[in-house]
Amino acid sequence: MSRELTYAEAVREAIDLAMARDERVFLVGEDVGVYGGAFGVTDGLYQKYGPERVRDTPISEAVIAGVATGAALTGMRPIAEIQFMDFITLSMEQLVLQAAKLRFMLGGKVQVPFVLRTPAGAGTGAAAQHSESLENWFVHVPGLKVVMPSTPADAKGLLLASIEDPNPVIFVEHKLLYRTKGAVPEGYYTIPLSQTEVKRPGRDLTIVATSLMVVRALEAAERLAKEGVEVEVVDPRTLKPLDAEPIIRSVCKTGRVLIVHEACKTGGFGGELAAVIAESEAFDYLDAPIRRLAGLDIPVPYNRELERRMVPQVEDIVDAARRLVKEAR
Amino acid sequence: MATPVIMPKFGMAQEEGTIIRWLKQEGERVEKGETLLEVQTDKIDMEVEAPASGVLTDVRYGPDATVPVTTVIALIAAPEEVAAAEARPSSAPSAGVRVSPVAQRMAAATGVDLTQVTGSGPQGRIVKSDVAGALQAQAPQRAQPQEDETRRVRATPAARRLAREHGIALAALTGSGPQGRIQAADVEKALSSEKRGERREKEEAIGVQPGTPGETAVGEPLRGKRRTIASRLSQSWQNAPHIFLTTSIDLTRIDALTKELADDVEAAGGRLTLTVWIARAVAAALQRHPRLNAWLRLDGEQLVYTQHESVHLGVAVAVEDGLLVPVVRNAETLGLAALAARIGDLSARARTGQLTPDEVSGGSFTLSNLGMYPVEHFTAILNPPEVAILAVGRAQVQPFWNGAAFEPRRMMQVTLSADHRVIDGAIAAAFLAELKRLLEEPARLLL
Repeated sequence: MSRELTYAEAVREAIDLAMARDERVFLVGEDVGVYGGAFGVTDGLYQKYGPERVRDTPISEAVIAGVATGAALTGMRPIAEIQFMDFITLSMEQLVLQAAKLRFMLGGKVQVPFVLRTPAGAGTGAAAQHSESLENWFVHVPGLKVVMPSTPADAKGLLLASIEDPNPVIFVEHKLLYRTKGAVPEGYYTIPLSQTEVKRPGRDLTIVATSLMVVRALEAAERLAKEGVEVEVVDPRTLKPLDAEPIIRSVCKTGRVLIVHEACKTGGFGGELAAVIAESEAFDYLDAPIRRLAGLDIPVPYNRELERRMVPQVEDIVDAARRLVKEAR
Repeated sequence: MATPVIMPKFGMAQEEGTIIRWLKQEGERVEKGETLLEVQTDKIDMEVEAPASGVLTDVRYGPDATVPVTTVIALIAAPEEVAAAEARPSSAPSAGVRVSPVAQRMAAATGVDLTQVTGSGPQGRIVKSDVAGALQAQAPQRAQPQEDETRRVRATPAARRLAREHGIALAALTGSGPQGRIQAADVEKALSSEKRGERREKEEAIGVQPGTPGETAVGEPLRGKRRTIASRLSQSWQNAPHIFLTTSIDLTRIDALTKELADDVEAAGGRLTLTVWIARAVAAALQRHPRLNAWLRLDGEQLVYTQHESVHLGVAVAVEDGLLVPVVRNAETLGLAALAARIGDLSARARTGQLTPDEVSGGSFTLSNLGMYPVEHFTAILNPPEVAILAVGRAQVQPFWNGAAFEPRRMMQVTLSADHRVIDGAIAAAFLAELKRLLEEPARLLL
């Protein structure tokens, strides 16, 4: 049975199901307990599972990441939360030097099975220190997995799969997605990591988008369909390890690709995607240059209008797609 | 200097050749004299040898490409050039020339001769700007528009792939993309118009009405040898009014003689077949009836008849993909053994594609024998510019009336085709009678 849930509710349901199923699963983060999380995602879980399994921490991201790493090493299944992805910068040593590497450095004798959930993205007027999209920092670190769901159903299934995974998973949510609604299957289910999904089939142009940009790309596709342009929207869902094959197949079909993400363009995940496509057999099917539409290379502005301009909007995607299709006809 | 590989001219009248296949690939090392590729002319298949040792580069035409003779089809880069390109930075400066390392590298990369460059640096040292200057001065001469244009064509990878797959020259297309970039749609457009054109040509050639119901077979344009055969035969059939004369020849004596002589002929390297006997008799008969040993050719507006003194006897040989007519020169001078050896050698080489163009041209009369098949007699089409051809059917035992009773005799029917414009019926009949007598009374061959 499917019913409509918000993205935030879907994440909460996944955590609830995992905690009910496996005693090793516990929550750790700032205000995840009594307060219910900065965005209300963990609301009610403290009341249900108590202070032992839903632990509020001091304001120290290094501690959160360290606790998660240590607890995972000793056999627990922690779900840590970093309140804003921006502050993940404070936990980098634990994540990059410890969590990502211990299994390798100890010859596989230990596992670090934790999930670090964190909301990313601009659009709330929270300015440069509360709006970052830093996912590609982690894509660059061997040993970490990076998951970035775009729909409530994906969020639930991918979070449960991430909790089951024996590796540290950076699970990137988007603040503006929390209130989006979608059909979500009931009960416990997982969506395997590293499984790219075609969210909408089309023949004229491939848009590869991540997180909130998938939602915007789908809306753009809807508008373009009225002009007779059939856009295929592809969502990698897991950025690392990337399931590239469906992306390559799609580009072979359409011959044109637009990559859309919110993070700054330079050094962003789009560059990696473009290279993967260019190196693949899809190269010989490209009928136009690979294009990227991404955040401007600036800190996220506090001014709401400037903030809006900094991040790709639906009309920007429509415009870029239209130009790309016209150019290749 | 790279050595050009050209489409060779094997025969005097050859204007173009078709590449069958490359035996060496681009980038492969080749030795002078090694076979590079196989080429088909309108008469035969030939191998083309490497004109120099080096590395095969810049292969400009692929299989099936028909190229005018003397066109450059590839280059062979000299070993030094390849070595220089491989070890670019270490190429030593010429003695006595002072060169900065950057200038040296630049010269090696661009092929500028440093001995021809004046240095502007301290103590006359050649520096970067000097090499750049020399390069600029050279630019107009070294410009090879054809190549450069090809390289500078703006095209998407998809357009390039399609062009590659279908053998379309991108440079000939107009791009509809930004800054004239050629896109897949442009290649597809060119492709569909080409296909339309090709189909029309084919349909015209074979008389198919467009849209013939149920027509699904894919036609194939005639190429090389086959195209030549087709055009020459229809030309001959349409231009030369043929007359056909048939006679039966009693082989009793020939058969007896063959038994006597076969071993001696074999010892001389040949096989005494019926074809050899007929060739011998035809050569002798033509000596006595030279009007049939001739050419009739159009020279401008005039038809010119040329009679040959010697008999250059063409012997038709069926090969895998058509028919070859190697020519036995001065056949009248050859005895049975020599003739047998010569015919054997030519037929064998015809079947393995090893004949030279001179061996398949210049015939004055043609012999076509289908006696190995159950063909009792047939008529042949003249092989222009020759004025006569003899078609030989199967020898078989037949009842023969000797005046008192029927007796079994091995008989063979031959049919002479002659160009009635210059050969009257009586002349043709006289030749045929002579031929019959020579074969039935072979002692006359000694006369």
